[in-house]
Amino acid sequence: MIRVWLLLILLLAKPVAAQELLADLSSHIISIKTDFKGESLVLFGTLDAGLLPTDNLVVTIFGPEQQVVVRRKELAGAVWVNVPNVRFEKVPSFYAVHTALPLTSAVADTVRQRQFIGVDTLPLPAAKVKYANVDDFRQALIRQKKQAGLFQESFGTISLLGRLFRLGVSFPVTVPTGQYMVNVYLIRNNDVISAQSIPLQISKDGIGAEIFYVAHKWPWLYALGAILTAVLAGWLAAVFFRKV
Amino acid sequence: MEIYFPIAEMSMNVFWILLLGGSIGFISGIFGVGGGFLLTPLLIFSGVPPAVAVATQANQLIGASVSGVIAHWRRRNVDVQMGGCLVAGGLLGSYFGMRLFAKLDSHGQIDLVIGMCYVFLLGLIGLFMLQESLSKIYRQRRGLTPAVAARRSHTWLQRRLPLKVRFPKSKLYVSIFLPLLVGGMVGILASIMGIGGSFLIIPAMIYIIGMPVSLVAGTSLFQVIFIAAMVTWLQAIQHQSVDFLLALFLLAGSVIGAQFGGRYSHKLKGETARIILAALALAVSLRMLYTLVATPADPYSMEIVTP
Repeated sequence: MIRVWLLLILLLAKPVAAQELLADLSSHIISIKTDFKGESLVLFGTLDAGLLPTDNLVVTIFGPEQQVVVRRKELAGAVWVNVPNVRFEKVPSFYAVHTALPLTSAVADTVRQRQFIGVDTLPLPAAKVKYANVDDFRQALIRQKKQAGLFQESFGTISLLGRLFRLGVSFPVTVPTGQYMVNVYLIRNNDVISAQSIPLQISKDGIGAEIFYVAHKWPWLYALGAILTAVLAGWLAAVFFRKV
Repeated sequence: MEIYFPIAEMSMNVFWILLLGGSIGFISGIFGVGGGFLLTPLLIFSGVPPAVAVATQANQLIGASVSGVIAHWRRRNVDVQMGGCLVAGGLLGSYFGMRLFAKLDSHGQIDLVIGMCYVFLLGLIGLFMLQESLSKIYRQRRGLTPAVAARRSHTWLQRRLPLKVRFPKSKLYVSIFLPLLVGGMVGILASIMGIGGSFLIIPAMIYIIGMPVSLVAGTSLFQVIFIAAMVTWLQAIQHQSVDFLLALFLLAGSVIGAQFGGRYSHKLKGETARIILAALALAVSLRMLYTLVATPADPYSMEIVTP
């Protein structure tokens, strides 16, 4: 009997402690259909005690990891040639960070490093380090990802209304598909006191998804279909325009 | 109206794609070339990943060539025997071209090689055509008799290569290695540059093999069908880079454009048409040269190697 009581207390006690922060997304699925132009979601939630002066609220979003090769062009004689390249493994295909207050408020560097808050905290390990200036390549990678809207940083943009907070999150049209993770942290005096992770699935849907699926699952069938359709379309056009 | 293309993984305006296909079709209807040398760079400028652009234009080219060859077939302007030999060489050539493409791509040098091929080949052919047409016009203005083309004079290649075969349709008796070699060379270049290669094979058929000009357009379209099908097949199997939806929209535009081009071509004098085509080739060549020598805005480029 005592065991049951202990268990009950344990079960009840745990959520109470975690309920400092409660958040959710307006949708947990983004479908990329043929009319896809990018998508915006709303992240919303409540803070038990509102945001205290010693607090900060941080949201990070991670897309699936990918391998990226960064090349640099150098002048060889008269033409520009790709000479050195660096391969980065485990690059998040999408990364966003948003905060309620300026980044430095209540967030120490140690916390930033641990929770990957800010583009500069992403490890982005290089696979083969032949060159001393790998960091130049890393900076170029970050710059290009930012230009493509696939790395986003905005500080002080989460809007607060008493105990409520909300944040608009936008994904560009080139957003990679896969399993995403949205992390929400409540930080008080340089400590994460409450955290929540919300999964987000981004996938192709409709006719586009079918085409992509067949192309990867049965490439020979896809190839045959593509060739035969083109032949048929060409033949139909010739027949049709002869009549006209 | 924007449409998301699933393999290119980007949205593009449908009307822009139809317009692009239509203009390429119009040009190919007038000049009798596939227009891949314009379509592939234009797709890349529109933001389509180069690998997808090359593979998709091959898919589009199958349809465009089929509809073109039917018209020539009715006028009996196709030498199937010669076309078959060109195809045999071309299939081998494009297979090795694709292997070379993959190798260069993994070293990050494919942009450079594609750029160089465009600059030199288009530049040379463009200059050659321009010079020929201008001198012909000059002679006509002066009232001189046009120089009789010494078409039937056999070149060194035609005399020396063994295994001569009769090609009754083209009225030729040449070595079988000649079309095989020409087909092979064009196959390699076409698969690297992402073009059908009619631009290269038409001069080669006239000047190296010595075919009658009337058969050249139909026969080159005939062989392009098979080369484009092979490139589509290999690209789809190895790289999944054929965007079927994009190819269909391009095809829809290009078959319509080709009809208008074909009708308009009668109004255009042969020499004027050749000068315009030469100017187009030179323009693309110069544009490519510019990207090779100009200081890039950002010397760094990134490429995702795993999806």
